[in-house]
Amino acid sequence: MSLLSKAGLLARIRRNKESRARLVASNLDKGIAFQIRATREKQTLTQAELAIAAGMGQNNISRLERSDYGKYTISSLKRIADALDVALVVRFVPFGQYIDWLSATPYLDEGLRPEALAVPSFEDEEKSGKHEAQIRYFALHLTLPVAASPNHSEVSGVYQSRFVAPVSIPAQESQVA
Amino acid sequence: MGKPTLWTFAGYVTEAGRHIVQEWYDSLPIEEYEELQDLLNHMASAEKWTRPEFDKVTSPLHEVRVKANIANHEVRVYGVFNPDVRHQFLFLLGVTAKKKDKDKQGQDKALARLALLKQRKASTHEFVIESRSAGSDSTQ
Repeated sequence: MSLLSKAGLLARIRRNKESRARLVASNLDKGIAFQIRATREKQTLTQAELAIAAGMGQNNISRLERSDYGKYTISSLKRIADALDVALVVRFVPFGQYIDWLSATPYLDEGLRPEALAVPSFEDEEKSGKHEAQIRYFALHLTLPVAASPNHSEVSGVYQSRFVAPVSIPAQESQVA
Repeated sequence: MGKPTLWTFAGYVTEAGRHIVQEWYDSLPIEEYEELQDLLNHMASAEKWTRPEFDKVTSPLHEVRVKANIANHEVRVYGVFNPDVRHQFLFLLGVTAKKKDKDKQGQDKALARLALLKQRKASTHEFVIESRSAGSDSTQ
């Protein structure tokens, strides 16, 4: 769910480096505050109760729940994650993946791999044309129906299918579609 | 297509047909515009809105606020929960005001617009939070 489109976010990250930094900081600050607040309330905990569970002062929790605070530490976030019994992910990601996530565009996270450790910079991504792809998605390829398949006797009653790798569709093509 | 957000936003339309809150939002300095854009995007998915970014001003008026470029100032958008549309917040007036200033003038203006809406002398439109992202901001 998002009110932000990938095209709009692409325009923001292409404006300049300062704009990219602002996008990350703004959404990080708001995301942390909104998540702690919503998760705490879902578990019907008061700020004071969460503070005790995390071994922190209530003032700290109150500050962390402010979307304009922005001075959290990973150490305090780990304590809150532990107190709420949820996982915490802190990762560097390429801007292409970041705007997919922000705009609720489905994307493939391939887990740990060399590119996930040595993250491509914005410029690297621009040079490789990564940002030109508007939509990345899984395609489900179905083979011909069994009756029309030359091997139908061997696979009777079964439609063969397979997942293929994520497909990138260039901007123009995806707009037409 | 993703799922729709929990909340939507609407803007005030004058009798003459001007989307004046949208016009104000679109003309904000880019930093304030994006700050508000990101906040509204988060608020759209949040079940509860609280301080510091959201507060009750005077019944039934509320405000959404973010920091402004000018020191000790904040950007405020006054509005009400739309009684006619579930999970919709209706923006009536946008201002940049001093942090501790109660901005009685702005609040009165917002309430006057609400009265005009109730008299059917004004209307609403779907508020677009990404209205200028693709083009006009490239030079700012």
